[in-house]
Amino acid sequence: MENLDIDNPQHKEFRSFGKVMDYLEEKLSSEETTAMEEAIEQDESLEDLVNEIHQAWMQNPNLRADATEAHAQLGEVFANLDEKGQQGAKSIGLSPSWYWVAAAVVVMLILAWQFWPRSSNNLCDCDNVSQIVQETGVYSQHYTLRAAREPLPADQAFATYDNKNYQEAIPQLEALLDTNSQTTLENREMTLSLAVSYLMANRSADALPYLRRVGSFMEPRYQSEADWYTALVQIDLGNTPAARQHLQKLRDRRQLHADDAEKLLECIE
Amino acid sequence: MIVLALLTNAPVPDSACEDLPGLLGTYQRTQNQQLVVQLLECIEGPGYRLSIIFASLIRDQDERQDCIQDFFIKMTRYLLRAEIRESIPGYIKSSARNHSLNFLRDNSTYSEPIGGEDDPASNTPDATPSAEEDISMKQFLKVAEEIVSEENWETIRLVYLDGLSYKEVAEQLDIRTSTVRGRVQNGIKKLREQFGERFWDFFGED
Repeated sequence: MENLDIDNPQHKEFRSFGKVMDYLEEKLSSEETTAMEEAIEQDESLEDLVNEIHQAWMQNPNLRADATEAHAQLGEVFANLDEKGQQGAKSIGLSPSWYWVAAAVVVMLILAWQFWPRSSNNLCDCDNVSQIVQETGVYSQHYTLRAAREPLPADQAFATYDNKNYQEAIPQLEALLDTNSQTTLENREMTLSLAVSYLMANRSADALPYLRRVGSFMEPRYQSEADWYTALVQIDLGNTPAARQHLQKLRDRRQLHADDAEKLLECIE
Repeated sequence: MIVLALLTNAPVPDSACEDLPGLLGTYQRTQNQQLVVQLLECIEGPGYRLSIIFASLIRDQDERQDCIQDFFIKMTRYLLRAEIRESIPGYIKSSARNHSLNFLRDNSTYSEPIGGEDDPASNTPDATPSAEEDISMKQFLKVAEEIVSEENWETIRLVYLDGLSYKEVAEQLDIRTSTVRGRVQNGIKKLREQFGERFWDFFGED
């Protein structure tokens, strides 16, 4: 099989796009350059990678910026495909034994539904929207390919957010967010994270302008996220009719958050 | 149906990247798009192996976004029917390249054909439009051979006209691949100084 980065755990520190570009642009120290060249000598797959990046760089002198942007664009496409995959998993192609397994699980679920004590994740039992968010899962997608991509200025803020330190995440995200730009995935992720942080920090009204911006992003997943969190903000603000509108849109769209929206609609109707 | 979806959406282990044909086979059996995402992520890797292809050929950000989206929709459909084989990463990379070139040809305003009004080589008073391209090509070759050293030009020709990899060129010329990189870099620098970016049109990407 063709050499892939993942196939060869050797020289992992050298086989990132940024490191190779640093080498080609002669930005490494002399020690690092020597180490890189030794690694290239020993590792054919690393040499292939260096050659591929060099050839692309020759064709586009602005490769560093453009490839980083392309990588983010790929991440976005992957996220969309992943989302569709989650929604569109089909049953065809499963072997008959899987149907028996599935049938058994369905029977068990029905029995559990009948006899199990009332489930704690019933959205109608939630006392506040933060609890609903906890029950349904806090947004934390922050770029697919995070492990593979270059470090970003926003990574620290994303980490603070993922650690649920929303009060701390707010000023960090605000400082980095470029409100004039919707073009980078990083910026879109920051906008959504900031909105959710406001919601979780009991500052729902402050979340609304950011959610409106999230709703204007082209990708369907952002529109679903915007509707979901806007509905929660409106519930928190006591504006049930507005919340209902957003939940109905989610339910009818049958995409991300559709099931949660349906459950929540039952609660508020 | 929920149970079936759960069954087919089982998390893909990281080790799946070591067996891409296996991953593709599972994708084809289950039609689970998450698996094709995993496969493409494996190929992209930290070296940005797909991103550099798109970035090297399409510089306009919006065009690139459209091209990438279009490519992956087609790729997921294709992989559903593809023959399961060992060379999947190579196939996907060459498809990304071909798709980008086709996309540029069909949609882009980025690449103006050389020989246009800004082309100094086309200012021959009696050049007819049909002959202009030939003349320009000849003049390009003449100028290129003058400004680029013989060994650098030979290397560039092998890479960009004959489509050989750096490694193949190194073997053919019996030099190291680092020497190939150096020669290409020096030669391209000279061509870029002389012609701007338009010289790429002569390398017949399409």
